[in-house]
Amino acid sequence: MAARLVLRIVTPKQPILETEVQEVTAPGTLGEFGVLPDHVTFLSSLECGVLRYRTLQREAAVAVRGGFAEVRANVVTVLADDAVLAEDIAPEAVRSDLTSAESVLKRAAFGTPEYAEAEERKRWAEACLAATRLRPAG
Amino acid sequence: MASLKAIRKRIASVKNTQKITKAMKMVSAAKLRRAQDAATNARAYAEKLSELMRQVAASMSDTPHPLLQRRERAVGRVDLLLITADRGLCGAYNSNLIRRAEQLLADHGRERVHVTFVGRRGFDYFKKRGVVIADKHINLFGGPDLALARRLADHLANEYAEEKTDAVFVLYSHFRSALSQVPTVEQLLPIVPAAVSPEGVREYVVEPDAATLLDRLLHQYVRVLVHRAFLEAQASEHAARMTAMDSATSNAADMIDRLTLEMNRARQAAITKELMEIVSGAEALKG
Repeated sequence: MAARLVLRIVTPKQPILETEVQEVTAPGTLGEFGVLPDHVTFLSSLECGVLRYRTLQREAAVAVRGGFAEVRANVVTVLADDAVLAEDIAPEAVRSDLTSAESVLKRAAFGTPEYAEAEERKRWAEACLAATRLRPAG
Repeated sequence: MASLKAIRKRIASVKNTQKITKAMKMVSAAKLRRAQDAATNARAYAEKLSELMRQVAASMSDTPHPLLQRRERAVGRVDLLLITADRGLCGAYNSNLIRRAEQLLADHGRERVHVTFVGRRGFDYFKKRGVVIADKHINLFGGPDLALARRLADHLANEYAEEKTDAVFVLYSHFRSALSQVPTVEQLLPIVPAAVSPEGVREYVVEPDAATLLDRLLHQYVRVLVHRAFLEAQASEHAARMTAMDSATSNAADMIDRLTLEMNRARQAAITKELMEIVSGAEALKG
């Protein structure tokens, strides 16, 4: 029997997810990395992006913002600043967020806190949208 | 003895007050439950983060990070983050915190402490009492949140890393139970990670590299500490208000009982007086 892998996602506000999975792909700082059962003990910081996982039944996506991932003893623990399951994302709301962030980026000067904040909002909105696109139809 | 009418009016007014305190108590009870849930939900993250932080700090112990380093040469300034409530009517909650803050100010020398205020009550008390006000966040709708914790933590961490301050403390009310909240001082910076036994140190493959990772972990850790202090403070505030309003409600009930007794006595006295007048009038007529 193959070893089992558990994925846990927690944010400062609340735990998001704890489930048994076959495979996890996460947006690490040095690029995406994949985790299969019996992975080496591993620690990485994460970037804003899409985390994907595969269970026996389905494939799913989670938008994660920053944070860290630890892989140890077949448990993947993701400490994200923020995380939303793809099925909980409302694309319309995210799109309007994206437009508002982009409009700020157009008028704000580069290097100001306002610019940096809008840029982060834009990245987050894009990650959310990317996550919804990976959601299987139906 | 007060007149019957005056007593009736008092009873009516105390009853109104009682209605208000009762409603406030119930609102606080609901808010307390929500605050406690929030604190419980945040725990998993905080525990895991501090575990990772300790692990990486232990593996990097030969090149200490600025946020972990104690000042060798003091610059003569310490920072205090004082978390009080925006509103009163919560018993001794705010005054306990203020008293503890006064004590801390006395310990470090009043003029050397730069205070960052969260909550109006603490600010109102100290604004005319000769302390250095570094920053204030008052009248926060819905209480201090994660975004504010982030901003304050990042700012204080920067001040520390730039060697502008010797230490940063946070003073908040620790939520022990619904009946007991204890003002607590915690050292925010420098961070003192609990030691990890040598055999407890795990060999991680790290990305991008241990130094960058440690830096990010430590900054996040400070944010989480501030956030946790916020959550504890909110739970404490609601608990304190609930207790205060509960005793106010029962005090009002006692008062109503006493006044009712007094009113009945006054009524009885008036009746007796009237009877006496009638009887003595009849006696006089008999002559």
